[in-house]
Amino acid sequence: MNDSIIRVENLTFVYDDGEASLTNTEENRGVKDISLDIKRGEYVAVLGHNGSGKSTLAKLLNMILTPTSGKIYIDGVDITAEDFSEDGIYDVRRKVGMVFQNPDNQLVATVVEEDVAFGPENLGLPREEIRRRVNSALSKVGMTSYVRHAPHKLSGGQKQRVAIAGIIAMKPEVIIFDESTAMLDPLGRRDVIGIMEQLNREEGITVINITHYMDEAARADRVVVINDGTVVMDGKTRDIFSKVDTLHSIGLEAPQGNELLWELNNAGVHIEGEGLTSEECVETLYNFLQGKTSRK
Amino acid sequence: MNEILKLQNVTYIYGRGTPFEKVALDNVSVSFERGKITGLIGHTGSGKSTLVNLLNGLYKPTEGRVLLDGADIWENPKEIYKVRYRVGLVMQYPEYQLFDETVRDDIGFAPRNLGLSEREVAERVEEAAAFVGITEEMLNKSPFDLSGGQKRRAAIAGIVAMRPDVLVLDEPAAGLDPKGRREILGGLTEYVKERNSSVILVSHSMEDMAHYCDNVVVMNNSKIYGVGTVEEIFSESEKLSEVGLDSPAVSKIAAELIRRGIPLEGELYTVGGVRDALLRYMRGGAL
Repeated sequence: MNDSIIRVENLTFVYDDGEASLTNTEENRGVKDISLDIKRGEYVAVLGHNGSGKSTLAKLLNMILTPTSGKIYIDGVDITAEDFSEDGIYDVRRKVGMVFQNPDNQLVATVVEEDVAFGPENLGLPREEIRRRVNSALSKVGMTSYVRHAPHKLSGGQKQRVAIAGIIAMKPEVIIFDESTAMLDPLGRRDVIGIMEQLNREEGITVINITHYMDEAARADRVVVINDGTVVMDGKTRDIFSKVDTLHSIGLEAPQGNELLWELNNAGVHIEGEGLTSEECVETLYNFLQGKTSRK
Repeated sequence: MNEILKLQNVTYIYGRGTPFEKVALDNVSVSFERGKITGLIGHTGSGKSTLVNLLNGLYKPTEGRVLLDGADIWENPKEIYKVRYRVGLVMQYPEYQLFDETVRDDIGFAPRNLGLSEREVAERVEEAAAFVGITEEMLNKSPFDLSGGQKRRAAIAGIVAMRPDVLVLDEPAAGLDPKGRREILGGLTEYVKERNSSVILVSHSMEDMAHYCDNVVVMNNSKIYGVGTVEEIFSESEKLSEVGLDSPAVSKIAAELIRRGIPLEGELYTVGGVRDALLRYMRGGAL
């Protein structure tokens, strides 16, 4: 067993003009000299503004893009090696599943269960095994009762859940969510985040959540901030979000609790304590205010 | 009366007379004012999108009337296109609708269709571009060479260039980072001030609603669930969570402190507002 599931060394990717116009996505900027080590079972959020290179990184990790230079090891295997085989690519994509932003772009079949079965079928698994995997994957995302529904009639959140089931059915080691909640309403978001966390905690799947929502990132164990194609911050979620000044300087924000404590600090009220979650922020403020009263 | 657009007892039914018949809006009355930004919230299936499509005549009410400046927009159905110049609708992910050779031509498409002179078109394009932060250099580029955020802004400028009396934006900041959100949404406030128009903002982000809107309309189950100022709506976070919506994190923090006996007052739905309330409390007689 290898402790790190993804290891990236001095990874650089430069889009040449042809590729940049072909991809035509929000984030068609490259990455520069990134090194990163993600441990098995981690729950990591990747933050960065539009065009920071975070989606490029995701696409490099499951071999949608090939690096210009640098090394990527997935589960200890150097996928950037000269002699890395064609078959190896499929193995990487099975191990590192990706859920994209637009639910309408990732469903291929006309019936939910067929969509989920698409991956396992391509693995050439026996019928019974495919059936087992499809049922189990749909139950994990709470979509069992939609097994024979048409995907295009589902809500955005339900579509994403089907897309996730399709990935789960491949038994991946890692799932990368590339802004998978950006197009969802609050309920859909809550569902997808819930599934993400359940997969991480109960199934031990490594989760990488690329997001613009600070409150989502705040739930991860570790946050990696990418700016201009390089990693500018990497650490425990709590530590990253307490550095409000640094986040602001690269156009990002902290969760509102952290922002509130930071604002008070700027106004000359120095408050010690945590503000990552709303509950923590309430405790911190309440204790501070109580302390002030009792001292008097 | 400052009211510009009004729905009067509007009902909208999809697939009427078919087995798929569904009431999407049920006897809804609501009005939108000049010089105000109104937020429209509600989860998927609440009737929000149906309402948006009724505002500029993409849908025709099954029952009831849509009034623009007091006149029924369906009085003369052949002239409904004129309503669409006055009520500009920016759909979700509008950047997928960019098509022209240059950003300048793309933004100028609607004004040109209005039959304006080239000079006026140029003027409108400059004005709209400035409002959303599109530079002269970007105007000469192909829209497909812009970044995602820039494309979004160019697409919004295309609607703004019509100088609509009512500007409806469906999730204009979806998928953008905080800076991009601020740039696009911050411009709205200015737009409303300068043109005394009415802006209707559909968003799932309560933080953005709290920050940019004057009023909020909450939809649930094909009906209006609540209408009020931002303060009125977000001070009742329990009512919101009953219909699957959240109030901004900071207003929940303020509500919990109040519950514990800290009397906070003021704009308790933005970070700055809660900060000021806390500062007032600390500096006031309480301590």
